[in-house]
Amino acid sequence: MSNEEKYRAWKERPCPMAVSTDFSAEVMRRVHREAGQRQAQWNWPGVLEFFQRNVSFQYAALAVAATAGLSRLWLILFAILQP
Amino acid sequence: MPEDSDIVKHVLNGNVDSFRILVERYQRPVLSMIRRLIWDSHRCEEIGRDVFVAAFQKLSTFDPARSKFSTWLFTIARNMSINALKKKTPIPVEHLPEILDSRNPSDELSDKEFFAQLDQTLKALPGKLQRAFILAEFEQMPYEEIARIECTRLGTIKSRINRARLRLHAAMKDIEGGKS
Repeated sequence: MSNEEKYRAWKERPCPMAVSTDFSAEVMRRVHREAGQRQAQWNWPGVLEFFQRNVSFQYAALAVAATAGLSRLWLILFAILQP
Repeated sequence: MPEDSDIVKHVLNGNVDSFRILVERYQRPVLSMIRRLIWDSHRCEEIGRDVFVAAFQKLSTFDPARSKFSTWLFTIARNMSINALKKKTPIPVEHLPEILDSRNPSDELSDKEFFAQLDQTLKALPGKLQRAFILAEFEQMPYEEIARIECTRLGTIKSRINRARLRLHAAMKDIEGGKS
């Protein structure tokens, strides 16, 4: 066998992959435990993530902040100008 | 067969059991990739389980507009394999993945030696070259997907694979030279 053939045989050798039968069951057990814990506690990173991903929510928050800011501005102007 | 992105939506909407479909769909390629990257068949299932649990935890950050689910999952597997490599002690050559050998028994010893030397050379390569070569040549992943997993440009991946090939060919010449 030439070196090139050996190199190809090395690259193409099968890698025996026996996945244990309880692999997915064990993963799902941990996933359910994780989901249960998530429901039980208030998830702040999840809230921030939601805020970060939801653009319409960001616009709504911006609108509320702008309205609050403008109303204060009116108050200040009202105090300065004293119409 | 439901699309990965549809299953992700189901899971995010509270149907946690749907995640099993993704686990069963990707357990073999993920474990195979981890096994090749960490050179340890004993720990790959343990790391594989952590990969799927981490994927579930971060599922809300998966954006189907940016990448395929498989690419996103392989990226997690790649990162966790790198972390596992940083922690673990080196594995002796005799514990490297076994090969199924269907060749002539008389060739077996020299071939095994040859394969072991190439394994050693590959293992000695810098991690970036090693990973690019393993994903392209052993896992048969498209270069574009490897570039996304490695968070780099396509040209960089091509160059890394080429450099790894050149070093392996140089090692092959050394092995041949050592024998004669």
